Amino acid sequence: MSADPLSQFFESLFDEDLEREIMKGIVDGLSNDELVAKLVQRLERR
Amino acid sequence: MKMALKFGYLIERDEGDKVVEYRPTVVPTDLPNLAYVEGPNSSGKSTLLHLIAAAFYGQKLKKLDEGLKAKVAAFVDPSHQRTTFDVTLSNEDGTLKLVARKENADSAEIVVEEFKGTRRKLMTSESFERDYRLIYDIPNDPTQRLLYLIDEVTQLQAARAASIAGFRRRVDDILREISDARDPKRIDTLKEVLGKQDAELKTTKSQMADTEELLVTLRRFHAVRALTETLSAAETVDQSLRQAKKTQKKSDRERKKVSAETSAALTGLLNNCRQLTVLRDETIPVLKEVTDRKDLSKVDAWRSLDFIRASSELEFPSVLPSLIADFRNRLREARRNPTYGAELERAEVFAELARTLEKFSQFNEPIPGTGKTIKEMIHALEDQSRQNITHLRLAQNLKKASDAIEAIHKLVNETGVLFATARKAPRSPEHFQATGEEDDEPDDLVERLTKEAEELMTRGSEQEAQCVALDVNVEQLDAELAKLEAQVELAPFRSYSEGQLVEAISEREVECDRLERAAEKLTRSHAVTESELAKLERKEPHAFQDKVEVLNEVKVSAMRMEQRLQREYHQFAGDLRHGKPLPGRPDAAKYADAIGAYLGKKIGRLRHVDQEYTVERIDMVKREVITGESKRILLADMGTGQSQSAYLQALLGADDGRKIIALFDEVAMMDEKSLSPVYARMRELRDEGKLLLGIVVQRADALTVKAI
Repeated sequence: MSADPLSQFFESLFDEDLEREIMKGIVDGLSNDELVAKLVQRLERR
Repeated sequence: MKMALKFGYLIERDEGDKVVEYRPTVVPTDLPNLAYVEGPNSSGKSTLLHLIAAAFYGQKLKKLDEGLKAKVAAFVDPSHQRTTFDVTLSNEDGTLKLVARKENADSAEIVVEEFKGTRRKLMTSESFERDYRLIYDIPNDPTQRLLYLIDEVTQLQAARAASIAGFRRRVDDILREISDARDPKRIDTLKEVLGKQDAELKTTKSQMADTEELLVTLRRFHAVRALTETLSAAETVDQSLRQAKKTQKKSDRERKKVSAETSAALTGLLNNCRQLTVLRDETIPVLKEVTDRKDLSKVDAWRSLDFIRASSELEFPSVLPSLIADFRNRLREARRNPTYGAELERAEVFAELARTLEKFSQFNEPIPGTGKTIKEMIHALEDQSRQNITHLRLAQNLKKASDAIEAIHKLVNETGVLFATARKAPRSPEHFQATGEEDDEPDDLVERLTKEAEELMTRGSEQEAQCVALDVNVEQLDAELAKLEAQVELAPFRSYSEGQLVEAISEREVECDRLERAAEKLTRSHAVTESELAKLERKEPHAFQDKVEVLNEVKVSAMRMEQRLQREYHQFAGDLRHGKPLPGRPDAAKYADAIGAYLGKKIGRLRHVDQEYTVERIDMVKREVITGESKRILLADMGTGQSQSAYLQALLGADDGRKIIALFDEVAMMDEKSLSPVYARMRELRDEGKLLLGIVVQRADALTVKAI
């Protein structure tokens, strides 16, 4: 969970890990391609 | 004290009786980045805040209170007053500087520049709003305005939904790029398809060649056999004609009266013998099938039987009864074969199955349990059905031949009686002349036989021409027929009648056409597959080629989030904002908790009565503040100063990464204690490099300016 209250708010709106990861990436200001790469890597590790 | 804000302005306002000029004369033009200003009316406090707001595009800010926005807009509106200004704002260490100028008093144009070290950037209102957050507020009715913070959340939710939509579109693009890129799995699949198409094409062409070859052989067999039968029939007719002419000649010479009984016998036996010839010829193809090779001489003897001659000699060849008996037995044995009935049923079932499957022939997947595609199944069924049909034909022909043998047997017995009657007559039959109405019979017979002979001659000529066209040596017709009958592929057709052969030829012609069309279609499909494969092999593989599944998973999640933010969460925020109860659903309760916690963190600490509390969360449904000390304070019970304090802290609490310029006016209800958490927050933000300028203004009798 992010430290910033706004990020916390948005992350807490979603239950699934993948959704939280997407929201965190958006809040952290990752570019779309960076976020895709990060999520693909994470899902591959499952 | 380091000064962060430097400003100057000149306002020329037409006040009816005269044009008045205003310049900063009371409030200092150099201020620190956190400043508290109090002073009497008309000392320029609000003008200072309007100036800073207008300099940094406050008049274009969507979230600015409408009343304030109108004042800021009017500040730079040439139709209201002529204004020029110059504002410079720097951060603590001087690494960032904003300069805003309005040099033309008759235009609303403002130029804002950002300096970071030596880098200069011209800022439009959009780019400024992207990087900086201008807060300008007069905290009137702060309890109510605390609710406005939910509007901010609604806007942020919409912004997040838009970001997620953008992200989802990018995932979609990547999936499209992957499907357009070199896909090794697709290449393997296409190669497999190509292999299958090759094999199928080869099989089809081979089937077509076999069918064409069989068709040629069948046409030759049909032509040769038809000509042989015509020639044989012609010979029989010729013999009959010769005898009829002889009878006619002698009867002209010796007209004798014979008994009606003898005359009928003579006519009957000639007709019977001609019918016996026809029936005998019909049985020959089948008898060849059912007779062992070593006994084929019996079939030859059967074929050589001269029934016309027997009609004149008034007796059958002595071998006839034994041949009839032998062939009756052979046919009976052959017909006892139990497979014929089963073959008939199989032929019908397979043909029906093939017809049904034809409707689904475009479906190219293997059928579970068979390993064959529908097309392959259809071909297999048709092959089987064809094989069964040849057996079926043989069964039918056996029955027909048996019937013919029985008819021959019966006719032979009947004719034997007629022979006996005729033998009793005083003269040999050719000397007899029928009496009464039958006087003219020999003439009619000659005429009829002559016509028949001519027809057979014409038919024979046509059939001969056909044989020649099919490269048959008509001089060696018997040898040609024997050669054809010896061919293995013709074995199923040897017993076929003329009509059955024509039908079999027609079926093969249709089959050839079908196979040709199938081969053409397969060739086209093969070319398409080859082209697609070549195109695919020329492409570069995509980095996420084997990640399609996870990308789809990401896409689905993003879509779900987007929808939830735009629908449910948007609705919940609206309901909370307007004091409506949320639906009794877990997601609504979770949302209320999340937004309550967020607003609580934004406010941080507050004073109530005479004590300071840490805000845990705000229950927006019950309109109460829950503190870390588990105290519940209704918003309505909070003092105005305390509410103002909570509200201002909340305004400062939002952290979206932009640098803040905060301007608070008329904080009149707030005492030192209420203001202290606001100041603390401002200092904190400044020290974190997040707050560029913070000015708090209060009305007082005397001017005081101090750093916060």
